[in-house]
Order: sequence, then C-alpha cells, then structure tokens
Amino acid sequence: MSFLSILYAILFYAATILLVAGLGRKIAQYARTPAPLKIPTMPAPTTQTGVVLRVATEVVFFRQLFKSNKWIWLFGWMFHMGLFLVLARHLRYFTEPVWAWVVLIQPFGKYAAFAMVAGLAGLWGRRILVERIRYISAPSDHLMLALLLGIGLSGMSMTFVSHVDIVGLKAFLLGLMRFDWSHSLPSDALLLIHLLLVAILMIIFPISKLLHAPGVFFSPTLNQVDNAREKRHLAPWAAGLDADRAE
Amino acid sequence: MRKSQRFNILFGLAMAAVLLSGSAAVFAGVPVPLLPEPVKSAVEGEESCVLPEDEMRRVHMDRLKHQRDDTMHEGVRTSRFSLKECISCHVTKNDAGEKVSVKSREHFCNACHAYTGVTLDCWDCHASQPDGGQ
Repeated sequence: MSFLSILYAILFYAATILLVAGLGRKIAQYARTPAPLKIPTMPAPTTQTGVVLRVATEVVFFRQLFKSNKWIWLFGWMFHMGLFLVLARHLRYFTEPVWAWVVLIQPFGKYAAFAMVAGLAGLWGRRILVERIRYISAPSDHLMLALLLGIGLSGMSMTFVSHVDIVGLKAFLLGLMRFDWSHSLPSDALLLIHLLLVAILMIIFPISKLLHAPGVFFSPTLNQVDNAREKRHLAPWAAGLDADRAE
Repeated sequence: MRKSQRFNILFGLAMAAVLLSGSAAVFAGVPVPLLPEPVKSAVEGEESCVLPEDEMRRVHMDRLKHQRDDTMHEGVRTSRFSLKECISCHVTKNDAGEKVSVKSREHFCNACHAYTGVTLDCWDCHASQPDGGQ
C-alpha cells in the first residue's frame, strides 16, 4: 500500500469507530432521558400502531414541516431524499456481488445527486437571504451545509466531469472491510477530497446537529400515544415518589 | 468511578467486540475482477492497449462514446477506440476453451461492470464476441 493509502485507511478506521461508538452512545443517552409528561402534539394517534405510522410519515415525508412551511419543506425534502438515493447507490462499493436492487437504482442515484445539491443550495440560501434565519444562524449551521455541499459536488464531479478508477476504489474499500490491505487507493485528487470530507462528516456526526436523524425517533411530542385518560403516564422516577406517598 | 463512566467503558468494549466479530466473519481475501490478457497489440508496433491502463480505466467510456458520435454524426470511421477492437483483443475463454459472451462475469467488459454495478446497453445491438456470437 502507498503512504496515502495507509493514511486514508487509518483515517477511515478511526472515523468508523468514532461514528458507530459516538452514535451508539448518543442513542443510549436519548433512550434513557426521561419523558416525565404526556405531551403528544394533538391531534395524536390513540394506538401504538397509529404512533408507528405517525413517526413513519414524519420521517419519510416531513409532515410537520410540510404543514408549517412549503418552500423550506421542498428544499429539505429534496436534499434528504436525494441523499438517501445517493447513499443507496454507494452500496455498490461495499458489497460483492452487488445486490440486484442496488444495480437497479444506479441511474436514479446518479440524478438524485442534482436534487440533493439543489436542496442544499436552497437551504443555504435560506440561511443567508432570510434575515430572521441569518440572525440566528451559528457558524456550525453554515459549515455543515458547506461540508455536505462539498461532498455532493466533489462526488458529482467524479460521475459527470472527470472519472476516477472506481474498480481500484472498490478493491481498496473491500480490503479495509476484510482487513486485507493489499490494494492501494487510487490517488485521483477529486476522490481524495471527497473521501476526506466524508471522513470529517463521519467524525463530527455524533457531536453535531445532524443527530436529528436518530433524535427524531425520541421526540416525545411525536412518539407518544394519546391515551392519557385510559392509562396513567408515570415516569420511572415519579413512580418512586408515588410509592413513597402511598405508604 | 461514576456510573455513567462505567457504562461508557462497557459500551465502548461492547461496540469494539461487535465491530471485530462482524469483520472477522467476512475475512476471506478481497474479490477483484479477473481480466484476460490481450491477445494482440491493438496499435501497430506497440505492445500495449490504445491508451495506458491507468487512463483506460478512467476514460474508456468517454472515448467509446466520442468515437460513436464521430461515426454516427460525422461519418468518420476510425478503429482506435472502437468497441470491436476492445472485444477482439480482450478475449476470455472458459474452462471448455470456448469464448465467453458478455452474459458471463468472466467476459472482459462485464468483469468490471458487474463488479461496480454498471449496466450497459451496448450488447443489445453489438456482438460481445469477436466472431459475432451474442
């Protein structure tokens, strides 16, 4: 392996460990955070199945955002759906043989990149052009968008402008996954930039605002059943107090 | 030691174990496309492909398309970057000694395209074997 390959191999092992461990730790923290009050946003579903459907529509369609602001929804949804297809398309680098459905969505993932970048540009425009939003935007809000845009544009350039050796790339990545370091990373500048930005994203993901991805599932206003009258809502710590008072 | 600290350490160890065991299961060498050696020099007097291998890996698709446009729109027929030259030089034979078609993963073109999930429609019209089969 070349020196550059060793550097990137170490970078990606470290980034993966930080991402998985950091994300796991955050999810564990979210799961243990008490929700002392019954506060679903009304009207809320009255059954558990209803809640599953509600969370699903929120995660897939961003229903609340759609109801509150159409143009922000448009850009946000474009970006997220584009990102989803693009990520699914990238599975071809990590699976051998490539799964049939991944082969099928290759062309869709290719053009979803345009939706993704357009969505990001729109969201960044919002931060700069809407005065109210500009006032409350922190540097991290801008930097996160810049990072995602950098990843999107560098990736798109490799598909639509200047190709790189993707066979060599896949051999390198499969090698990382199998702890067989005999294949070097192709040293195309665009590829190196793209991978560096992705590694940065993986590393800061568990300490960034991007935690809304796992966080949405733990939102009490979204994931609670409207059954306050049928069943008393009792947080574990409050249950202890209740027992004391009963004695 | 605080309770949360102990939890963090245990959690970290558990994650490491999961990662290691998951990877150990697939520890079996890296699959790469196996490519046949070219049967002849494509350019007179040169013992190499029409471009260096490094370049062919990156730009063969652009060159093929460019050549197609030249041929179809301008009527300029050259052979340097023609599909026919690729398949007459890079021929794979199977165990029985027969030339394989693009349906096989042993085929020169398909070896990498299947590896990277690339689907082509070249072979809907063109032959994938030098003697015209398939």
